[in-house]
Amino acid sequence: MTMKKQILLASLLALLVAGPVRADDRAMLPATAGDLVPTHLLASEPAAAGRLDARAPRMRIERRPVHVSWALPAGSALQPVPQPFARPSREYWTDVSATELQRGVELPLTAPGAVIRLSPSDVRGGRLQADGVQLRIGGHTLSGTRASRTVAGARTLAATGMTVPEASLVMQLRPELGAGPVRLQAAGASGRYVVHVFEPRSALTVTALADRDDLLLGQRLHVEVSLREGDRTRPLQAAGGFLRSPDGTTTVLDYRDDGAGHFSVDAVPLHASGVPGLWELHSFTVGDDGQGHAVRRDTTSVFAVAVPDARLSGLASTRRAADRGIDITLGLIAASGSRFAVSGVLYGRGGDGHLVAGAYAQSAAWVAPGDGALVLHFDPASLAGISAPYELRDLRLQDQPAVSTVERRALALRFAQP
Amino acid sequence: MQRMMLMGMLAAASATVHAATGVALVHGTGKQTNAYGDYWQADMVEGIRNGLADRNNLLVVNCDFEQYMWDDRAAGCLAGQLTNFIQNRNIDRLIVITHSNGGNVMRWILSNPTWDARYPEIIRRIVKVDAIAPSSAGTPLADAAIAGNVFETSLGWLLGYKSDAVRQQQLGWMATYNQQYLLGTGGRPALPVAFRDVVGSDVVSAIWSSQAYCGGYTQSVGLEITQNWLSSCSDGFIECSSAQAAGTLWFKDRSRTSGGAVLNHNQSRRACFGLSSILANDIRE
Repeated sequence: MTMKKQILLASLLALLVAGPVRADDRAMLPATAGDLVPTHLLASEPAAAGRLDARAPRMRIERRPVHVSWALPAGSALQPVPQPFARPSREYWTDVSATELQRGVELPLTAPGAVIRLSPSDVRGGRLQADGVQLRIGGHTLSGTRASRTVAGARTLAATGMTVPEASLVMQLRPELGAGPVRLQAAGASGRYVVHVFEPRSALTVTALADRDDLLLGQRLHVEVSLREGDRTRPLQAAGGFLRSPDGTTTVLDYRDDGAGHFSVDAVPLHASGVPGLWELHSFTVGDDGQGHAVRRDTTSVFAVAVPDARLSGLASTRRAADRGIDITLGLIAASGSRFAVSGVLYGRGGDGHLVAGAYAQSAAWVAPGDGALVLHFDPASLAGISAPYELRDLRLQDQPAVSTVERRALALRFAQP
Repeated sequence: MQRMMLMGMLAAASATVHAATGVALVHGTGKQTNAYGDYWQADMVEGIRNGLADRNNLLVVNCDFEQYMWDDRAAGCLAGQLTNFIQNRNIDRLIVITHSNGGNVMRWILSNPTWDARYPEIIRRIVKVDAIAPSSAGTPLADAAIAGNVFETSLGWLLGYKSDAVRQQQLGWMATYNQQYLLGTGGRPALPVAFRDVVGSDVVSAIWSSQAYCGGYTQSVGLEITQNWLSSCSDGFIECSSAQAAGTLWFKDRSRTSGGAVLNHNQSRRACFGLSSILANDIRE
């Protein structure tokens, strides 16, 4: 592709980190619903470079300014607003003690052929074999070996790429045993266990749908939790869960019932994570199948949270660059020094006269606290497929060492000529 | 006029002769110190090497891909080894062949060229990335392997194996990374270079089938369990929809392999069913 040739090191540029934009420059378009825009700034902690904890992520923080641009393929259909991800859950987890497992724990099953995994905390003393486990289902008591179509250990699963915890025992129950509650018992249990139940054939699923994919510290995430059986919604009896930050900090959440068995929860991350990563909202639910059998399902929603340590000032200027490309200078206000990056998609009139996505640009530099600016440079080759008038869309401001998006605008700027 | 044409032809030929083509093999999840022997194995590497005019222009990357793709031990390590390879061998035409999560680490570099001043110089030399079975949209097996670990933080005990690379390959995590920081998936801007997917579509594990033995047979029992999490089109670890979620489809296994064999996730990093020859031929193009 020729676009790779358009990628340039910005060490050639003095214009990459420009001074603050002038007050007489054009204002960015107003933010729209779905945009991510900081209303106040917070100074962030210093970046995580050189952490002593070997398990913590290691960051390499670049100090040299870099900018790139390339042409986008004709017909690129872009979605500037991140869509929250959700998938139906057919599984649940529970934590049990050795004493509970010795006495027997009840596991609700809604469909034949469930996969049950036991993962011990004590990987030596707590390791269980299928023959050492008993399952009572449908009036029959069977050993794990006899009740299972397939039995596998952690090492066997690791060979497939599925890295379950060490000393795990996985059993897929024989489908002919049917569904309904199962009593799982292990006389030789030791320590604690996580029991994972997955029901691949079940029509009963729980989905947790968030209203957004990213937010800023202090903003609210709203999640709706619902139980479905095929196309029909069924009421849930209870739902609970917690918020987990990338550094492992958890906050228990209060779920609300709308009276019809649909639950929702609001989560507001208030404290920055000590390490970069994504946040998780874990929901644990209980419902029933309409025939008196319990349905348990757990599900996880994933989203990004950023410390609003910088924002776009709202002022921008456009000009024809020395190489005949287009420079878009974006004002920036930073509460803390960091390496910030801006990126955006330039739309313009295509060959058929319609507005099309033509070019992508990304620019990053170290920015000191206070007022500053970053320049998106679209080089001439990247602009080959489009002409004026232009729109700058999917504009994003990212704090690179924090691996976070601090501002995002679906449509930022319109201009006829640079 | 004839003289000018001749000079033009000579110049073009000269450019071809002096263009140094190199190949880099990028492994998947795991901390590799001998990816040649442990991850790819000699038959695969040497088969691919056959596609190079200069057989020395091949790099087998060894990095710590137990980390998040953006971690310095992952993308940073990959960038360092690619940069040294390009400089030491004067590579100006680089073909990157990735397997599994290695595709995500490579895509991080392609999507975030301003992250590191070394990235644009690498990208400038890449002619294509052949991504074999990339976990571009994650895998349900990562969710199943790691999701129960949430109890460790609430209960204070550890559940053994934990890897940021596995955490990152959960479906919800990859969906968010694809929307926030990565390019090349549906609705997102295209990558700066071609990212071509090789997709494994099924697993043959019948004990009587010779196809089941290439690359090793040990995972067959495990696959009977893991297939429960996966759609009908998968290589036993990655669903076809994930393997072709980023970039463009190059080929699905049956359409190019010897005898129309399928490539399970283990076989797609081994010299099974003519795969190394397919890759070698592609280097020559």
